[in-house]
Amino acid sequence: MTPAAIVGVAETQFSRTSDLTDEELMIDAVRLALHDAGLAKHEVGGLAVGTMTLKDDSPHIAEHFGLELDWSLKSDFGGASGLVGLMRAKEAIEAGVTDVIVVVSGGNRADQPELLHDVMFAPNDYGHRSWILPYGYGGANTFFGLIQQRYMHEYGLTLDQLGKIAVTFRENAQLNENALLKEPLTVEQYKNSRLISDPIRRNDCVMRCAGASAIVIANDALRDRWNHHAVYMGRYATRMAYQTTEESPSRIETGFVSIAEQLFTDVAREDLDFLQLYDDYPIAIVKTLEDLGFAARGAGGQFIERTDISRAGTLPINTGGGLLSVGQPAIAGGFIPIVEAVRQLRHEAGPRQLAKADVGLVTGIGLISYLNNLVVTSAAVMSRESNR
Amino acid sequence: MNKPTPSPVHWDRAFWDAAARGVLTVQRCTECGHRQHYPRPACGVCLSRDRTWEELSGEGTVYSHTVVRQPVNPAFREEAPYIFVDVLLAEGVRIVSVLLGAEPGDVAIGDPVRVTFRPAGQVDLPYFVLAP
Repeated sequence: MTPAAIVGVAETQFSRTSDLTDEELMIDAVRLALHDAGLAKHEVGGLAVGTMTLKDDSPHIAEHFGLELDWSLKSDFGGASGLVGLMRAKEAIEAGVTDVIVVVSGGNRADQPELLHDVMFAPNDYGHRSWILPYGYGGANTFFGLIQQRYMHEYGLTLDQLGKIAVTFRENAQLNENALLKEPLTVEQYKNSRLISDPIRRNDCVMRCAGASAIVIANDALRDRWNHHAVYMGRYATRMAYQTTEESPSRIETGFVSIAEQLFTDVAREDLDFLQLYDDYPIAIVKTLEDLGFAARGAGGQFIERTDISRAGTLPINTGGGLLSVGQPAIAGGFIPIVEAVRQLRHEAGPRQLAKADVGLVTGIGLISYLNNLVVTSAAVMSRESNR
Repeated sequence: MNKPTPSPVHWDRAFWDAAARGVLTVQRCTECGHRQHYPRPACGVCLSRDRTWEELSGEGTVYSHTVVRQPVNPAFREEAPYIFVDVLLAEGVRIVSVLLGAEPGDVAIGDPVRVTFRPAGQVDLPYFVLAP
């Protein structure tokens, strides 16, 4: 079996707002990613669309994009849609279903009603409709407020520890031309930012924005075709609906606990050159590090405090600024860690290129559980070599 | 602007019927005894659709809490800030709700609370208050 290789990535110019619809933004990203790969549109045999807003089925989205396909997928895993879509695409290529798949997502700010005529947003429709929205839900901030409050009660966590995460990512964003938040941030500013959903503060939250991202994954047998060094997925795993049959599941433990061991059988944690982690909140970084086994349970804050997570450090995290400083173009936010990993592994990350970037880890997390933490936790080792 | 209200379906209607009598209930599987909230179309453990509703004391403690300062829906803006609570009920199951009659800063994890009901559209929605 020839492995599937990631051969093209692209982001549109992210912006605070846009006049374009989700589909228009996605089409721009598809063109850019195919150009990056050096492949033609007629060679595309599969399309995965990461979206929680487009009502359309994936075959009709393919029709809108002018793509005649062997394979399509509507990847509706929230923030994990990019990474899980990429996993499903890799499996389809390696099963011989088709040779070239584009994984795409894009979106506009969800609060522009004139652009919402063709979209919806209804994760966990029944649960939200009867059990959450009637109480005056404050969005993901509400559940992350519950998560962080419980975490601080059980284990303790300082604002300096959380602030270090936000500040480090902001420093990285200053070298990322597509990051929207570049003004310098200090730990003091982080600590003094206003409360949004206690203990979640303004600087814990991502800024919604407009934009799209696309990734091209293809059969490695076509390897003489690409424009760039290919990137390969090593061990990867996803857990969905963790602890869903518990009568009182943990609000703070995530499904990463159940996939951690299988991820690091070929590449050990200490051999990773970087982590690109889905960072909708700094507390999500803390929990990801703990539950994937980088830090002991309850010790994520101390781990951050004593570890240099900057680009020059022992464990660089979110070298392009993460969602926290780039912005969140809807579900394409989940592509930010993937695109940054690919650029680092190609050694094409420009001024923010790491000195060593041969193998790294990417995560995608998505959707929030009524009683537990995240509904989807996914992670993949990515490498310059196809055998890791 | 209208606030969203629960939309009962045939398999959760017994919850709302009990709520109208001022009683908090939890879905319980008659085959394996598993309890779950929010209600589901079948038992999450054994997939039996044969369920009953266990009456609860309505008493519990705060498992976690947060202050909603920026509601997504403008219909709630006048009421903000208000307190979302994740309540561990005495019987061991949990429910997400809003704590009434308390200010941010009044509530801590572990504080005792008890249920109260308020009309919401065609049903009575369970809320909580700090227990004396």
